[in-house]
Amino acid sequence: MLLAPEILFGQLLVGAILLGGIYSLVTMGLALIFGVMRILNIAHGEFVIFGAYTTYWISSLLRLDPLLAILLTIPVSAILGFAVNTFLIRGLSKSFDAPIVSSFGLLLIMQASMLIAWTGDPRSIVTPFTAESVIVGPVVVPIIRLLAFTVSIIALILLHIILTRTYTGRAIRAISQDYESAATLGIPVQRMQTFTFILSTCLAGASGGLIAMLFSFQPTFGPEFLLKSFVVLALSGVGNIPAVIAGGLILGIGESYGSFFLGSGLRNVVAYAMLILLLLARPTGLFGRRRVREV
Amino acid sequence: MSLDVRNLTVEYQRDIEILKNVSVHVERNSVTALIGPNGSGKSTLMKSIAGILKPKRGEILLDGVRLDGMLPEERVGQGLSIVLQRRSIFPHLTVKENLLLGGWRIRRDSQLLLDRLGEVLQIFPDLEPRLRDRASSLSGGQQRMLEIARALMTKPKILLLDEPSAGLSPIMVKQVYQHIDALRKLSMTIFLVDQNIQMCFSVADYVYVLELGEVKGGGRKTELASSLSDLIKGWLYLEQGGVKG
Repeated sequence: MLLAPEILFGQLLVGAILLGGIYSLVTMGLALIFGVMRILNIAHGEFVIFGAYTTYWISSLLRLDPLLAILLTIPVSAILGFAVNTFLIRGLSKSFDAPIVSSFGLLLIMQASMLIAWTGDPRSIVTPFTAESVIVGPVVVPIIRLLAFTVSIIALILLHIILTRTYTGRAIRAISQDYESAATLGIPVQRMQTFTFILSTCLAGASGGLIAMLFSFQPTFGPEFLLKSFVVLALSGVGNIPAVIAGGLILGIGESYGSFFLGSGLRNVVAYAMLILLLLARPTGLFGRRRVREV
Repeated sequence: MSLDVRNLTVEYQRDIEILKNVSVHVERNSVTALIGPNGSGKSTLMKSIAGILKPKRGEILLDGVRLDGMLPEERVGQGLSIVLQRRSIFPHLTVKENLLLGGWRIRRDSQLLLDRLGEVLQIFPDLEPRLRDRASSLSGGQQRMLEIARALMTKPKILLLDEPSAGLSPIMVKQVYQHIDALRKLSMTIFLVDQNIQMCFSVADYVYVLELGEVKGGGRKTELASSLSDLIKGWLYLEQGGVKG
């Protein structure tokens, strides 16, 4: 059955928006670490995939609803984040390149460990809603995507509230703007950075759980999500959550329309092309703020 | 309550000493100024006291408690507060958020925090109508006042001011120094570094002179005032590349 162009356009747009919300959540963890610790965590995608596997196993072994399993994935991700920060990142955070090398090593270790533990077989989580849809006007909306999008946006709104309404959140934002000045006010910078790293891995774990309900996944899929996070970050800048949401939506739209017109095999090519064009045309991102520091 | 710096030596690179056995005493309830030419090590001393730079040797004591070896945030807990030479506001936070973060140590006592906010706004009333504005929207002088106000939120035992007039117009410099003078009248203990010797002298009770990383003298302002013009001539000579005999 052929769809009318306007219905097809609407269908693609809805799919893109739902996907974009999850991309925003995936990116937020990376943005937090980069903003507060000035560390580009190359292993971020592995934390996402680790979250997907943790949700998968908790859900399978305990016969839990996947959404409840995500709630248990969060503390597991927090423990992993604490260990990685303590043993691999904290001592290196004064240098810009050492944590990049360190996190690249972590990427390889996590990927190999997950391959050994869980093999390279593709897995996915089947929920009671996996095949269900709701029809809104002429557009079919898969319930599971709608659910994942809603959870992502709620998580991002909660994070926004933490960062803007709580003392700890203000301190995190202050450190991201000027950590030396924050330290002179008595803010424990290192403790806040540890908290941020753990928060970031929790976000990655939760987003991994949602992704596991939408797509099949393997241990080697981490770099793909890292790339998508880079694109969203390049669009949004490190600045704020609404910009990251907008960046995620733009990537979702670009990918959906790109893969429709160019073929799904070129989905990632669209993301790469967006990243390169953005870095060339607007290095601070579409919504990025120009950083000015007096010396 | 006093600050004692004893035989402090700081080096940026191995064997290049920026401060050489510097000893300074800051008397309680007074303004002590440290003056010296460009590159004499004034800001290095301030950063070392605040814990941003790690000295090679020497002691820093506040009320007899050794601060050297403590992290910057731990020194704040001991009652030390600093306003850095460079702009150090959080530009994307509001003026109120900046001020509240200054009270990080007392954040769990919301009533005390609000009281302090009220006290600080009495000293810096120009900030009150701007509380909801982003700090980056303030003028240079207002940003400097915000930095000083923020540093006062924990009611520190001693306030370190590193070049408070740096980068400000003459009118703004005057305003900033009016506030420093107001703090002096409130018996605040202040250790002040500034290139603007005239303004520095106008508020100081005690003055130290730092040259090429060494303290060349110090004492009551009245004792130093007569030799001031000779000092400045010497510094100008140094800044032009001369070597003092």
